[in-house]
Amino acid sequence: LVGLNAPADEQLWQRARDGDRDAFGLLFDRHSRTIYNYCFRRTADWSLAEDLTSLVFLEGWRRRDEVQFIDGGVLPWLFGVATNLIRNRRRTARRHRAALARLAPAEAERDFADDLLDRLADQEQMQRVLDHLRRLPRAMQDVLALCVWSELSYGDAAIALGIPVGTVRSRLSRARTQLAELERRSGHETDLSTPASATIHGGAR
Amino acid sequence: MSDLRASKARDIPARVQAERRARLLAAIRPDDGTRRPVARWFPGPRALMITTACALSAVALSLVLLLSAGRVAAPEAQAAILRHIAAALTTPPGMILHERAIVSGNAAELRLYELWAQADMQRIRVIKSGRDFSWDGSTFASYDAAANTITVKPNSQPPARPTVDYAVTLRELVESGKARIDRTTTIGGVAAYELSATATSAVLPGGTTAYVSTTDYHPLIIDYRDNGGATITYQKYEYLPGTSANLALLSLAAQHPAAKLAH
Repeated sequence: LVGLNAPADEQLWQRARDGDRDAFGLLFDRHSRTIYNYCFRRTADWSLAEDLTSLVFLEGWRRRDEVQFIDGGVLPWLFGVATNLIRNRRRTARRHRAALARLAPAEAERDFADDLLDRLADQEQMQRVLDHLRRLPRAMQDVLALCVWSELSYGDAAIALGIPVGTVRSRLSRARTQLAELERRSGHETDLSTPASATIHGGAR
Repeated sequence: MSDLRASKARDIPARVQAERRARLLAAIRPDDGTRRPVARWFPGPRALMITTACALSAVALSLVLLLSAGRVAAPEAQAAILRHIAAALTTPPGMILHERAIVSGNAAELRLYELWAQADMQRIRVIKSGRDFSWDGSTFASYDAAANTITVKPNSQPPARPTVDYAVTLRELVESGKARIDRTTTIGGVAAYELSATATSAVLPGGTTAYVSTTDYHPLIIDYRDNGGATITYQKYEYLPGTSANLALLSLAAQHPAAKLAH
Protein backbone atom coordinates (compact mmCIF):
# COMPACT_ATOMS: atom_id res chain seq x y z
CA LEU A 1 0.00 0.00 0.00
CA VAL A 2 1.18 3.49 -0.76
CA GLY A 3 0.73 5.99 2.04
CA LEU A 4 -0.98 9.29 1.46
CA ASN A 5 2.25 11.19 1.86
CA ALA A 6 4.32 8.76 -0.17
CA PRO A 7 5.68 10.15 -3.42
CA ALA A 8 3.81 9.15 -6.56
CA ASP A 9 5.44 6.72 -8.97
CA GLU A 10 6.02 9.55 -11.41
CA GLN A 11 8.00 11.50 -8.82
CA LEU A 12 10.06 8.45 -7.91
CA TRP A 13 10.69 7.73 -11.57
CA GLN A 14 11.98 11.26 -12.13
CA ARG A 15 14.15 11.06 -9.03
CA ALA A 16 15.58 7.80 -10.32
CA ARG A 17 16.34 9.43 -13.65
CA ASP A 18 18.08 12.23 -11.81
CA GLY A 19 20.44 9.76 -10.23
CA ASP A 20 18.59 8.54 -7.14
CA ARG A 21 18.85 4.77 -7.45
CA ASP A 22 16.99 4.31 -4.18
CA ALA A 23 13.95 5.90 -5.78
CA PHE A 24 13.95 3.13 -8.37
CA GLY A 25 14.36 0.69 -5.51
CA LEU A 26 11.21 2.10 -3.94
CA LEU A 27 9.34 1.55 -7.20
CA PHE A 28 10.61 -2.03 -7.22
CA ASP A 29 9.44 -2.48 -3.61
CA ARG A 30 6.07 -1.02 -4.47
CA HIS A 31 5.24 -2.98 -7.61
CA SER A 32 7.43 -6.06 -7.80
CA ARG A 33 4.95 -8.28 -5.94
CA THR A 34 2.14 -7.39 -8.33
CA ILE A 35 4.30 -7.93 -11.39
CA TYR A 36 5.68 -11.15 -9.90
CA ASN A 37 2.22 -12.63 -9.46
CA TYR A 38 1.15 -11.49 -12.91
CA CYS A 39 4.23 -13.13 -14.42
CA PHE A 40 3.53 -16.32 -12.51
CA ARG A 41 -0.07 -16.44 -13.67
CA ARG A 42 1.10 -16.12 -17.26
CA THR A 43 3.83 -18.77 -16.99
CA ALA A 44 2.92 -21.14 -14.13
CA ASP A 45 6.53 -21.03 -12.99
CA TRP A 46 7.53 -19.15 -9.83
CA SER A 47 11.21 -19.23 -10.63
CA LEU A 48 10.64 -17.87 -14.12
CA ALA A 49 8.34 -15.24 -12.63
CA GLU A 50 11.21 -14.04 -10.44
CA ASP A 51 13.45 -13.67 -13.47
CA LEU A 52 10.74 -11.97 -15.47
CA THR A 53 10.05 -9.53 -12.65
CA SER A 54 13.68 -8.46 -12.60
CA LEU A 55 13.65 -8.15 -16.37
CA VAL A 56 10.44 -6.09 -16.34
CA PHE A 57 12.10 -3.47 -14.18
CA LEU A 58 15.34 -3.56 -16.13
CA GLU A 59 13.49 -3.35 -19.43
CA GLY A 60 11.28 -0.62 -17.99
CA TRP A 61 14.39 1.32 -17.15
CA ARG A 62 15.85 0.75 -20.60
CA ARG A 63 12.64 2.08 -22.15
CA ARG A 64 12.27 4.91 -19.66
CA ASP A 65 11.77 7.50 -22.38
CA GLU A 66 8.56 5.70 -23.35
CA VAL A 67 7.08 5.44 -19.85
CA GLN A 68 3.42 6.36 -19.39
CA PHE A 69 1.85 7.32 -16.09
CA ILE A 70 -1.81 7.04 -15.21
CA ASP A 71 -2.71 9.45 -12.43
CA GLY A 72 0.95 9.44 -11.53
CA GLY A 73 1.10 5.63 -11.41
CA VAL A 74 3.41 3.47 -13.52
CA LEU A 75 1.91 0.06 -12.83
CA PRO A 76 -0.28 -0.24 -15.96
CA TRP A 77 2.73 0.52 -18.12
CA LEU A 78 4.81 -2.05 -16.23
CA PHE A 79 2.08 -4.60 -16.91
CA GLY A 80 2.56 -3.78 -20.59
CA VAL A 81 6.32 -4.31 -20.35
CA ALA A 82 5.67 -7.61 -18.58
CA THR A 83 3.15 -8.72 -21.20
CA ASN A 84 5.63 -8.05 -24.00
CA LEU A 85 8.42 -9.85 -22.19
CA ILE A 86 6.25 -12.88 -21.57
CA ARG A 87 5.03 -12.91 -25.15
CA ASN A 88 8.53 -12.62 -26.62
CA ARG A 89 10.52 -14.49 -24.04
CA ARG A 90 11.61 -17.31 -26.28
CA ARG A 91 12.75 -14.95 -29.00
CA THR A 92 14.62 -12.75 -26.56
CA ALA A 93 15.93 -15.51 -24.32
CA ARG A 94 19.46 -15.25 -25.59
CA ARG A 95 19.57 -11.48 -25.13
CA HIS A 96 18.17 -11.73 -21.65
CA ARG A 97 20.47 -14.48 -20.45
CA ALA A 98 23.26 -11.99 -19.98
CA ALA A 99 21.04 -9.61 -18.08
CA LEU A 100 19.81 -12.40 -15.85
CA ALA A 101 23.34 -13.40 -15.07
CA ARG A 102 23.62 -10.00 -13.42
CA LEU A 103 20.15 -9.85 -11.92
CA ALA A 104 19.47 -13.32 -10.59
CA PRO A 105 20.77 -14.40 -7.20
CA ALA A 106 22.90 -17.47 -6.84
CA GLU A 107 20.95 -20.70 -7.00
CA ALA A 108 21.27 -21.28 -3.26
CA GLU A 109 19.43 -18.04 -2.59
CA ARG A 110 16.36 -19.30 -4.39
CA ASP A 111 15.61 -21.75 -1.63
CA PHE A 112 12.28 -20.72 -0.18
CA ALA A 113 11.54 -23.86 1.75
CA ASP A 114 8.71 -22.60 3.94
CA ASP A 115 6.00 -22.69 1.33
CA LEU A 116 7.71 -24.79 -1.28
CA LEU A 117 4.95 -27.40 -1.41
CA ASP A 118 2.26 -24.74 -1.74
CA ARG A 119 4.15 -23.18 -4.57
CA LEU A 120 4.52 -26.47 -6.37
CA ALA A 121 0.77 -26.94 -6.04
CA ASP A 122 0.25 -23.43 -7.43
CA GLN A 123 2.34 -24.33 -10.44
CA GLU A 124 0.35 -27.45 -11.19
CA GLN A 125 -2.96 -25.64 -10.83
CA MET A 126 -1.84 -22.67 -12.90
CA GLN A 127 -0.47 -24.91 -15.62
CA ARG A 128 -3.88 -26.56 -15.96
CA VAL A 129 -5.50 -23.13 -16.20
CA LEU A 130 -3.07 -21.94 -18.83
CA ASP A 131 -3.50 -25.11 -20.86
CA HIS A 132 -7.20 -24.38 -20.89
CA LEU A 133 -6.81 -20.71 -21.77
CA ARG A 134 -4.47 -21.46 -24.66
CA ARG A 135 -7.52 -22.37 -26.68
CA LEU A 136 -8.11 -18.63 -26.93
CA PRO A 137 -6.14 -16.26 -29.16
CA ARG A 138 -3.16 -14.67 -27.42
CA ALA A 139 -4.69 -11.20 -27.49
CA MET A 140 -7.72 -12.44 -25.57
CA GLN A 141 -5.54 -14.23 -23.03
CA ASP A 142 -3.71 -10.94 -22.39
CA VAL A 143 -6.95 -9.06 -21.74
CA LEU A 144 -8.30 -11.80 -19.47
CA ALA A 145 -5.11 -11.99 -17.46
CA LEU A 146 -4.97 -8.23 -16.98
CA CYS A 147 -8.64 -7.41 -16.43
CA VAL A 148 -9.75 -10.52 -14.54
CA TRP A 149 -6.74 -11.97 -12.75
CA SER A 150 -4.91 -8.68 -12.11
CA GLU A 151 -8.11 -6.65 -11.82
CA LEU A 152 -6.97 -3.79 -14.01
CA SER A 153 -9.58 -1.36 -15.25
CA TYR A 154 -10.30 -1.25 -18.97
CA GLY A 155 -8.35 2.00 -19.15
CA ASP A 156 -5.30 0.58 -17.40
CA ALA A 157 -5.39 -2.56 -19.52
CA ALA A 158 -5.57 -0.37 -22.62
CA ILE A 159 -2.39 1.42 -21.52
CA ALA A 160 -0.70 -1.89 -20.74
CA LEU A 161 -1.52 -3.36 -24.14
CA GLY A 162 -1.27 -0.18 -26.19
CA ILE A 163 -4.75 -0.60 -27.62
CA PRO A 164 -7.96 1.47 -27.39
CA VAL A 165 -10.26 0.99 -24.41
CA GLY A 166 -13.03 -0.18 -26.74
CA THR A 167 -10.79 -2.95 -28.03
CA VAL A 168 -10.09 -4.12 -24.48
CA ARG A 169 -13.82 -4.21 -23.83
CA SER A 170 -14.63 -6.11 -27.01
CA ARG A 171 -11.78 -8.61 -26.58
CA LEU A 172 -12.85 -9.36 -23.05
CA SER A 173 -16.41 -9.82 -24.14
CA ARG A 174 -15.39 -12.13 -26.98
CA ALA A 175 -13.06 -14.06 -24.69
CA ARG A 176 -15.91 -14.71 -22.27
CA THR A 177 -18.19 -15.71 -25.11
CA GLN A 178 -15.64 -18.09 -26.58
CA LEU A 179 -14.88 -19.65 -23.20
CA ALA A 180 -18.57 -20.10 -22.54
CA GLU A 181 -18.98 -21.70 -25.94
CA LEU A 182 -16.02 -24.02 -25.36
CA GLU A 183 -17.42 -24.98 -22.00
CA ARG A 184 -20.90 -25.48 -23.37
CA ARG A 185 -19.52 -27.91 -25.92
CA SER A 186 -17.67 -29.79 -23.20
CA GLY A 187 -20.62 -29.62 -20.82
CA HIS A 188 -18.86 -27.48 -18.19
CA GLU A 189 -18.95 -23.93 -16.89
CA THR A 190 -15.91 -21.76 -16.35
CA ASP A 191 -14.81 -19.93 -13.22
CA LEU A 192 -11.93 -17.62 -14.10
CA SER A 193 -12.03 -15.50 -11.00
CA THR A 194 -9.16 -14.80 -8.67
CA PRO A 195 -9.48 -16.36 -5.22
CA ALA A 196 -10.15 -12.96 -3.69
CA SER A 197 -12.78 -11.72 -6.09
CA ALA A 198 -15.26 -13.58 -8.25
CA THR A 199 -15.54 -11.20 -11.15
CA ILE A 200 -15.51 -13.22 -14.32
CA HIS A 201 -19.12 -12.68 -15.12
CA GLY A 202 -19.08 -9.15 -13.77
CA GLY A 203 -17.10 -6.53 -15.55
CA ALA A 204 -13.84 -4.81 -15.31
CA ARG A 205 -14.19 -1.12 -14.76
CA MET B 1 -17.40 -26.38 -13.73
CA SER B 2 -13.81 -25.80 -14.96
CA ASP B 3 -11.78 -24.01 -12.32
CA LEU B 4 -9.82 -21.38 -14.22
CA ARG B 5 -9.19 -19.16 -11.25
CA ALA B 6 -5.76 -17.63 -10.91
CA SER B 7 -3.49 -18.79 -8.15
CA LYS B 8 -3.35 -17.04 -4.82
CA ALA B 9 -0.93 -14.09 -4.83
CA ARG B 10 2.33 -14.71 -3.03
CA ASP B 11 5.32 -12.63 -2.01
CA ILE B 12 8.69 -12.90 -3.62
CA PRO B 13 10.77 -14.74 -1.00
CA ALA B 14 12.35 -12.02 1.13
CA ARG B 15 15.98 -12.97 0.58
CA VAL B 16 15.45 -13.29 -3.15
CA GLN B 17 13.63 -9.97 -3.28
CA ALA B 18 16.44 -8.18 -1.45
CA GLU B 19 19.11 -9.74 -3.62
CA ARG B 20 17.27 -8.99 -6.83
CA ARG B 21 16.61 -5.43 -5.76
CA ALA B 22 20.30 -4.88 -5.06
CA ARG B 23 21.33 -6.40 -8.37
CA LEU B 24 18.75 -4.41 -10.28
CA LEU B 25 19.93 -1.14 -8.79
CA ALA B 26 23.51 -2.05 -9.59
CA ALA B 27 22.53 -2.76 -13.19
CA ILE B 28 20.80 0.52 -13.94
CA ARG B 29 22.53 3.78 -14.64
CA PRO B 30 20.77 7.07 -14.01
CA ASP B 31 20.30 9.47 -16.89
CA ASP B 32 23.34 11.39 -17.84
CA GLY B 33 22.74 12.19 -21.46
CA THR B 34 24.56 9.11 -22.63
CA ARG B 35 21.68 7.24 -24.14
CA ARG B 36 21.24 9.11 -27.38
CA PRO B 37 23.86 8.57 -30.03
CA VAL B 38 25.02 12.03 -30.95
CA ALA B 39 24.69 13.13 -34.54
CA ARG B 40 23.39 9.73 -35.44
CA TRP B 41 19.73 10.51 -35.14
CA PHE B 42 19.80 14.30 -34.84
CA PRO B 43 22.74 15.43 -36.93
CA GLY B 44 23.69 19.06 -37.35
CA PRO B 45 23.86 20.56 -40.87
CA ARG B 46 27.46 19.52 -41.53
CA ALA B 47 26.98 16.11 -40.04
CA LEU B 48 23.77 15.80 -42.01
CA MET B 49 25.65 16.40 -45.27
CA ILE B 50 28.25 13.81 -44.33
CA THR B 51 25.61 11.38 -43.21
CA THR B 52 23.65 11.86 -46.42
CA ALA B 53 26.75 11.39 -48.53
CA CYS B 54 27.63 8.23 -46.60
CA ALA B 55 24.11 6.94 -46.93
CA LEU B 56 24.10 7.53 -50.68
CA SER B 57 27.46 5.80 -50.97
CA ALA B 58 26.12 2.94 -48.93
CA VAL B 59 23.09 2.61 -51.18
CA ALA B 60 25.25 2.67 -54.29
CA LEU B 61 27.64 0.12 -52.88
CA SER B 62 24.80 -2.06 -51.71
CA LEU B 63 23.35 -2.01 -55.22
CA VAL B 64 26.68 -3.10 -56.62
CA LEU B 65 26.76 -5.95 -54.15
CA LEU B 66 23.19 -6.97 -54.73
CA LEU B 67 23.62 -6.92 -58.49
CA SER B 68 26.55 -9.25 -58.07
CA ALA B 69 24.32 -11.80 -56.33
CA GLY B 70 25.57 -11.12 -52.83
CA ARG B 71 29.22 -11.32 -53.75
CA VAL B 72 31.54 -8.38 -54.19
CA ALA B 73 33.03 -8.64 -57.61
CA ALA B 74 34.54 -5.23 -58.21
CA PRO B 75 37.80 -4.49 -56.39
CA GLU B 76 36.83 -0.82 -56.41
CA ALA B 77 33.64 -1.60 -54.49
CA GLN B 78 35.60 -3.74 -52.03
CA ALA B 79 38.10 -0.98 -51.43
CA ALA B 80 35.43 1.66 -51.00
CA ILE B 81 33.53 -0.41 -48.48
CA LEU B 82 36.67 -1.16 -46.52
CA ARG B 83 37.52 2.55 -46.44
CA HIS B 84 34.05 3.32 -45.13
CA ILE B 85 34.37 0.67 -42.44
CA ALA B 86 37.73 1.98 -41.31
CA ALA B 87 36.34 5.52 -41.15
CA ALA B 88 33.24 4.44 -39.26
CA LEU B 89 35.37 2.65 -36.68
CA THR B 90 37.53 5.71 -36.05
CA THR B 91 36.42 7.84 -33.12
CA PRO B 92 36.00 11.51 -34.15
CA PRO B 93 38.12 13.97 -32.16
CA GLY B 94 36.48 15.12 -28.96
CA MET B 95 34.03 12.23 -28.93
CA ILE B 96 33.83 9.20 -26.69
CA LEU B 97 33.48 5.75 -28.19
CA HIS B 98 30.89 3.60 -26.48
CA GLU B 99 30.60 -0.08 -27.29
CA ARG B 100 28.38 -2.63 -25.63
CA ALA B 101 28.35 -6.28 -26.62
CA ILE B 102 27.65 -9.74 -25.34
CA VAL B 103 30.59 -12.10 -25.54
CA SER B 104 29.92 -15.80 -25.81
CA GLY B 105 32.41 -18.55 -26.27
CA ASN B 106 33.29 -22.11 -25.57
CA ALA B 107 33.18 -21.30 -21.87
CA ALA B 108 29.41 -21.19 -22.50
CA GLU B 109 29.03 -18.25 -20.18
CA LEU B 110 27.69 -15.04 -21.65
CA ARG B 111 29.55 -11.97 -20.56
CA LEU B 112 28.76 -8.32 -20.87
CA TYR B 113 31.41 -6.25 -22.54
CA GLU B 114 31.25 -2.49 -22.44
CA LEU B 115 33.83 0.10 -23.35
CA TRP B 116 34.03 3.87 -23.11
CA ALA B 117 37.12 5.39 -24.67
CA GLN B 118 38.31 8.83 -25.63
CA ALA B 119 39.32 9.30 -29.23
CA ASP B 120 43.02 9.12 -28.47
CA MET B 121 42.50 6.27 -25.96
CA GLN B 122 44.09 8.45 -23.29
CA ARG B 123 41.24 7.51 -20.99
CA ILE B 124 39.27 4.32 -21.12
CA ARG B 125 36.91 2.33 -18.98
CA VAL B 126 36.06 -1.28 -19.70
CA ILE B 127 33.65 -3.80 -18.27
CA LYS B 128 34.92 -7.16 -19.39
CA SER B 129 35.03 -10.68 -18.01
CA GLY B 130 33.09 -9.52 -14.97
CA ARG B 131 35.61 -6.78 -14.16
CA ASP B 132 35.16 -3.04 -14.26
CA PHE B 133 38.45 -1.20 -14.74
CA SER B 134 39.78 2.07 -16.09
CA TRP B 135 42.99 3.73 -17.17
CA ASP B 136 43.43 7.52 -17.23
CA GLY B 137 46.93 7.90 -18.59
CA SER B 138 48.72 7.64 -15.27
CA THR B 139 46.73 5.27 -13.10
CA PHE B 140 44.99 1.97 -13.50
CA ALA B 141 41.88 1.46 -11.38
CA SER B 142 39.87 -1.68 -10.76
CA TYR B 143 36.50 -1.94 -9.02
CA ASP B 144 35.72 -4.86 -6.73
CA ALA B 145 31.93 -5.00 -6.41
CA ALA B 146 31.98 -7.52 -3.57
CA ALA B 147 34.16 -5.28 -1.42
CA ASN B 148 32.78 -2.08 -2.94
CA THR B 149 36.36 -0.92 -3.31
CA ILE B 150 38.28 0.81 -6.08
CA THR B 151 41.93 -0.12 -6.14
CA VAL B 152 44.16 2.46 -7.83
CA LYS B 153 47.70 1.74 -9.01
CA PRO B 154 50.13 4.08 -10.78
CA ASN B 155 50.56 2.88 -14.35
CA SER B 156 51.53 5.00 -17.30
CA GLN B 157 51.46 2.14 -19.76
CA PRO B 158 48.18 1.97 -21.66
CA PRO B 159 46.53 -1.45 -21.89
CA ALA B 160 47.02 -3.20 -25.20
CA ARG B 161 44.21 -1.94 -27.35
CA PRO B 162 43.03 -5.28 -28.73
CA THR B 163 42.59 -6.52 -25.17
CA VAL B 164 40.16 -3.75 -24.33
CA ASP B 165 38.60 -2.84 -27.66
CA TYR B 166 37.28 -5.67 -29.77
CA ALA B 167 36.29 -3.38 -32.61
CA VAL B 168 39.72 -1.86 -32.98
CA THR B 169 40.96 -5.26 -34.03
CA LEU B 170 38.48 -5.18 -36.85
CA ARG B 171 39.61 -1.71 -37.93
CA GLU B 172 43.26 -2.72 -37.86
CA LEU B 173 42.47 -5.76 -39.92
CA VAL B 174 40.68 -3.62 -42.49
CA GLU B 175 43.53 -1.12 -42.58
CA SER B 176 46.12 -3.86 -42.88
CA GLY B 177 44.79 -4.83 -46.28
CA LYS B 178 44.19 -8.38 -45.13
CA ALA B 179 40.40 -8.18 -45.04
CA ARG B 180 37.97 -8.88 -47.82
CA ILE B 181 34.21 -8.52 -48.17
CA ASP B 182 32.81 -11.95 -48.86
CA ARG B 183 29.14 -11.22 -49.34
CA THR B 184 26.11 -9.33 -48.14
CA THR B 185 23.85 -11.02 -45.66
CA THR B 186 21.39 -10.23 -42.89
CA ILE B 187 22.16 -10.25 -39.18
CA GLY B 188 19.16 -9.95 -36.89
CA GLY B 189 17.18 -8.23 -39.63
CA VAL B 190 20.00 -5.78 -40.40
CA ALA B 191 21.68 -5.83 -43.81
CA ALA B 192 25.34 -6.62 -43.30
CA TYR B 193 28.63 -7.12 -45.05
CA GLU B 194 30.47 -10.27 -44.11
CA LEU B 195 34.21 -9.79 -43.82
CA SER B 196 36.99 -12.28 -43.39
CA ALA B 197 40.77 -12.17 -43.20
CA THR B 198 42.60 -13.03 -46.38
CA ALA B 199 45.54 -14.26 -44.34
CA THR B 200 46.21 -14.99 -40.73
CA SER B 201 46.64 -11.64 -39.12
CA ALA B 202 48.62 -10.62 -36.10
CA VAL B 203 45.52 -8.78 -34.99
CA LEU B 204 42.81 -11.29 -35.64
CA PRO B 205 43.34 -15.03 -35.57
CA GLY B 206 42.67 -16.99 -38.72
CA GLY B 207 39.11 -17.99 -39.42
CA THR B 208 37.67 -14.83 -37.94
CA THR B 209 34.53 -13.51 -39.56
CA ALA B 210 33.03 -10.11 -38.90
CA TYR B 211 29.75 -8.53 -39.86
CA VAL B 212 29.20 -4.79 -40.18
CA SER B 213 26.06 -2.88 -40.99
CA THR B 214 25.74 -1.83 -44.63
CA THR B 215 24.12 1.40 -43.41
CA ASP B 216 26.59 2.87 -40.95
CA TYR B 217 29.41 0.29 -41.17
CA HIS B 218 29.35 -0.29 -37.43
CA PRO B 219 30.11 -3.80 -36.20
CA LEU B 220 27.27 -6.23 -35.59
CA ILE B 221 29.15 -9.44 -34.84
CA ILE B 222 32.80 -10.46 -34.64
CA ASP B 223 33.15 -14.21 -34.62
CA TYR B 224 36.52 -15.66 -33.66
CA ARG B 225 37.00 -19.31 -34.45
CA ASP B 226 40.54 -19.87 -33.22
CA ASN B 227 41.90 -19.73 -29.70
CA GLY B 228 38.84 -21.44 -28.30
CA GLY B 229 36.44 -19.27 -30.22
CA ALA B 230 34.32 -16.34 -29.12
CA THR B 231 31.44 -14.41 -30.58
CA ILE B 232 31.03 -10.73 -29.83
CA THR B 233 27.49 -9.62 -30.55
CA TYR B 234 27.16 -5.86 -30.54
CA GLN B 235 24.23 -4.15 -28.91
CA LYS B 236 25.62 -0.64 -29.20
CA TYR B 237 28.34 1.12 -31.11
CA GLU B 238 28.11 4.87 -30.84
CA TYR B 239 30.02 8.08 -30.33
CA LEU B 240 29.11 10.29 -27.42
CA PRO B 241 29.97 13.98 -27.08
CA GLY B 242 32.68 14.85 -24.59
CA THR B 243 30.35 16.40 -22.04
CA SER B 244 31.24 16.28 -18.38
CA ALA B 245 28.46 13.76 -17.81
CA ASN B 246 29.83 11.49 -20.52
CA LEU B 247 33.41 11.94 -19.37
CA ALA B 248 32.25 10.74 -15.97
CA LEU B 249 31.50 7.41 -17.61
CA LEU B 250 35.26 6.96 -17.92
CA SER B 251 35.76 7.30 -14.18
CA LEU B 252 35.25 4.43 -11.77
CA ALA B 253 35.04 6.88 -8.87
CA ALA B 254 32.22 8.75 -10.60
CA GLN B 255 30.38 5.53 -11.40
CA HIS B 256 30.81 4.03 -7.93
CA PRO B 257 30.71 7.11 -5.71
CA ALA B 258 30.10 5.10 -2.54
CA ALA B 259 33.09 2.83 -3.11
CA LYS B 260 36.13 2.92 -0.84
CA LEU B 261 39.46 3.85 -2.41
CA ALA B 262 42.52 1.68 -1.90
CA HIS B 263 46.04 2.33 -3.13
